[in-house]
Amino acid sequence: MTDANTPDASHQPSRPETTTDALTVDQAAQVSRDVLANVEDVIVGHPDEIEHVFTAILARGHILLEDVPGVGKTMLARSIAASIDCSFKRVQFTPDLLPSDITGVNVFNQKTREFEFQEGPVFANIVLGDEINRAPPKTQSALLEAMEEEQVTVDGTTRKLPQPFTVIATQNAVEPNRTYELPLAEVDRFMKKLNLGYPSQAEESEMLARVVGDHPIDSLESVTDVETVRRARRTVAEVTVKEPVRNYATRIAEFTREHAKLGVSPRGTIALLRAAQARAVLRGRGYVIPDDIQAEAPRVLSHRIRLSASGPRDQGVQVVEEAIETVPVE
Amino acid sequence: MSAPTAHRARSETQVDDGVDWFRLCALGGLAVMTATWVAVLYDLTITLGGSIPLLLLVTGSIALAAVLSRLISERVAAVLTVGLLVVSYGSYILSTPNGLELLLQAWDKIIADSISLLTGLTVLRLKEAHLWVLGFAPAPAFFSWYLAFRRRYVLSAVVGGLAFLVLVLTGDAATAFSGGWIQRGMLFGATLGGIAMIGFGELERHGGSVLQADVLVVLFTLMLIGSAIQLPFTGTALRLVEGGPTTVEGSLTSSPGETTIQGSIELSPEVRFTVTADDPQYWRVGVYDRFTGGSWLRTGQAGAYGGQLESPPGETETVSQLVRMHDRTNVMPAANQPVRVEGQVREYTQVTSHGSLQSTVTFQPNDTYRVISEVPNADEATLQSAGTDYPAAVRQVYLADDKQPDFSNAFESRTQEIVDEAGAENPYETAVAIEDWLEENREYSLDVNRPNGNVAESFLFEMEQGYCVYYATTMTMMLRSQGIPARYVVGYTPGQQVDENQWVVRGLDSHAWVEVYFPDVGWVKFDPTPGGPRSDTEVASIEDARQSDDGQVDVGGSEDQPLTTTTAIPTNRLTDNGSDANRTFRDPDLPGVGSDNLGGPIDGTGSTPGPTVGEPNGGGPGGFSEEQQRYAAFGLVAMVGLAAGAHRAGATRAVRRAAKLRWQGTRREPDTDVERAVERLELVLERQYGPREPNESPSQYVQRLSMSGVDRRADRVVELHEKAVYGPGVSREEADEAIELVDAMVRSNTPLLRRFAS
Repeated sequence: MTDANTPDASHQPSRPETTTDALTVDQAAQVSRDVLANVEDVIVGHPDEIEHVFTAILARGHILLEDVPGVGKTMLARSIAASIDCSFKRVQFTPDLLPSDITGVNVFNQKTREFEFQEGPVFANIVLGDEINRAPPKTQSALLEAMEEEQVTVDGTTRKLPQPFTVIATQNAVEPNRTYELPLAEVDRFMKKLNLGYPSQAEESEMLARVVGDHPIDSLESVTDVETVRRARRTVAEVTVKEPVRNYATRIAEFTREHAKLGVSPRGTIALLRAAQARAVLRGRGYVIPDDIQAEAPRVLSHRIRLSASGPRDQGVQVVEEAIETVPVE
Repeated sequence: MSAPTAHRARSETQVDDGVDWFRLCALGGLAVMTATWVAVLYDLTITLGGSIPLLLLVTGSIALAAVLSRLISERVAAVLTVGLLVVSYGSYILSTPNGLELLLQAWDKIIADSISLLTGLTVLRLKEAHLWVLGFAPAPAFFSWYLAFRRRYVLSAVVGGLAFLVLVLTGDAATAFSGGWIQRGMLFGATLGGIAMIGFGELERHGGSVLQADVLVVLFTLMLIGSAIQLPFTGTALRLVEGGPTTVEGSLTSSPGETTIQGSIELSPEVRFTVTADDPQYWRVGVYDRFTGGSWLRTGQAGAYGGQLESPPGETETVSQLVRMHDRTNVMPAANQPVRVEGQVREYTQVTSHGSLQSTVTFQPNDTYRVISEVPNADEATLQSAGTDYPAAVRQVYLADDKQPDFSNAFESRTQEIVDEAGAENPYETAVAIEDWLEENREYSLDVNRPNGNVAESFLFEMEQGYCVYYATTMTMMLRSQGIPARYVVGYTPGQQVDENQWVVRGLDSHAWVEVYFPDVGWVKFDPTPGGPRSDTEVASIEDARQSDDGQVDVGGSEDQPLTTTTAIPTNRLTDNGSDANRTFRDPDLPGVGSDNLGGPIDGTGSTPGPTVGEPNGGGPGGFSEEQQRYAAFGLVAMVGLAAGAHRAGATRAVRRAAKLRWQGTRREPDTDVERAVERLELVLERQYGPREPNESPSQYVQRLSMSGVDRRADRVVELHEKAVYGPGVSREEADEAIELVDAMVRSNTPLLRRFAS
């Protein structure tokens, strides 16, 4: 309840942040490099996606992975969690999943004769929500509330979630008939939407070579700890965003609003800046440059755009690419 | 709407006969333009000789341009052109006497020379003018055709126009095209040709779309404006030749380097100056050596008076003259040959290459100066036996030669006849014979129709009457045809004697006569104009003026004085030619002679010019004559036009770009400096790699170019740029580093400078 010294404190509920100071930009960059290198020992290919996942963690964002099954979504989340030595939980969303299956329930303890709260899988630093679109909206919204507020309310009691808290949700794109598609307002809460895609032939061959014998994930050791990640998150929050860059970001958002039925929301613009801040730190910079905006925009903005009410959903990518191509930097 | 039609039409012509008509028309326009300015030069070479070399040079240059347009780059061609100009101008300077010395020491003189050329000094007045013409022609001919062959029509028109402009500025174009509407039409030929070339050239380059017709419209509008500017200019140039000032004097009051022979004239009875001297003399004002057939020119350059001048080689009589001006003028009348100027006026005195004096400032009424002259007074026997051993310097300038064919063979043989008839055996007798023949066989009249063509020939063969200018011109040329150095001289006759040693000189006393060179004697005056009829005309004129109460006619008591004839001093002539040369009405005993009113005290203040000498009122600002100002004004207008043309060709943008590229500007905030340095960096890079896309930040731009092998120094500059613009800002040292890097990159991208960059 006391931590209010980050710029976007008003958007975030106060959380039990430690009193430790932010890392320097160089330290944070070093930590990031270590983590990414560690993850890449396990995951073959997708270096950009790995980086995007980690920057989302640093930028207090959540990730929506839309992919076919079996391309390594879980492996990615697990190896990142292992690298930063944090708790990791996985929830398989099914049509009969209940909200309490995610948040946890109060259970009557016979011994103490009291209700005890049993934490659901959401009480972890990294939560993998598999096939989130298979669960009914009510269950989805339980997770989404946790994502937005970083807290869980069960039976009138509000409980803080651990820090860092990042949800990596996956959507199955192959069987749309048996799914509850996420409403746009909820999609908007994910900082980024990523596609892993199939590995290239060389990458797949490399992957096969690695899984012979012991799977590398089993021997993956952590390279940092949760505390360090928290401090790095503060570093990211303090990265300078100067007027020209802010302007550039708003002009890109403006462009999407002019060229689509539903453009980028202000929440999307904020997410864009925060993702850009994290990217800057990864590159050892204490300030955001237009490159950062351009690099983050497709994955941060595309899923928030609808060209028409019933059109295909991935048209947003084209609008964002057009915006990057058209909107002048200065 | 009609664009496709035009395009199709063009394709059809191309298909039909394989000829690109637009290109042909564009080259035709250039041909007209080139023909125009070459015609001006050709006109000069008719006077100077060397017409065939000129045509060969121009043709050769065009052929060379045709060949080289496929072989060498525009930059090399430009360097070649400049080299051609420098070499030809340099060899022209070297060919003049003391050329090397001039080249090494007197840069200011060369520059002053060039400026006076461009403010209306005709090329003909240059020594070795034929060399100048031959040197001038190839460079613009080559470069304009080179550019046209490479389809750079606008630049080509600018180059051709520049060549024409130079000749317009020297005034030679106006002289060459003064003959009538056909020639005047040719004057616009240059403009029309250039415009046609640019217009058709643009059409050719852009595929002949009618949409490009706007270029033609703009150009034709420009042409209209241009002709509106040129007409008054041409008008004045024509007046110089045909109308002009209607007195012989017109050319005397400012002592120009050129005096044109006119038709009918009137003489002004107004008093110009008074002279206090012991003897009456012809007060010489200007000396001319080069005859163009219609005018006389003075070649060579006037220099500042630097003390005692050389006396004539022979026996002389010293004449001290105190001149008091009554009119605004910058001439300094003095008897042949002035050797010394006294008083403050020395500082303003200039000596022409022929030894006559002029002033750099305009005299005001009542200004006075004193000149000492050494007048050759060799007797007849000395002149008879003077021989023909002329110094080389005299032969070169004052005799006809191959380069300066001033007269026809018929002229020469007719003169020979006249001389033979008189039985002349030496130069002196020849001069006397010609003088006598002219006096006896031509009638004096101020009412003359100026002949077309060579005035001397016309006066000898066709005309029956004329005035002093015609007599003197003809005699000079007749003497030259006999191999005797002679020159044409203008000035004033002695005037009306009002006191024992005072003469009042009026406008109508202006006169032209001849000076003949005798070895070991110097320049001796001959006056072929009949004296009697001339002074009768003068007397009548003064009487008329007095009756009409003209206040300018008399000075002091001169109206009480009898009018003295002025042709009556036959220097060195022992024989009296009988035309009542000694007719004098002077009565020295007449009481009440107003000498006090006339000259004032001679001694003491006499030799000091009035305080107004230094104020050049009459001559216009900066001592330029009105004519020069007119040319300068025209030049200015033409420069504006050129600037507009250059702008059309994108020159101003290129210049601004080059300036921005090279000049960082004053240091301000470090961040601002870095931003500016990056702007310059982009200018450097865009020339080689194309411009930055609007959606790229400078660093992305450089990163993109790194694949094309961009200078690695750029990386650091854009890095600093990011820090300055998006980050916490840069320090002074970092800003300086960025500027330094960009400077180095600019240097290594500049031709020539590149060699010195590390």
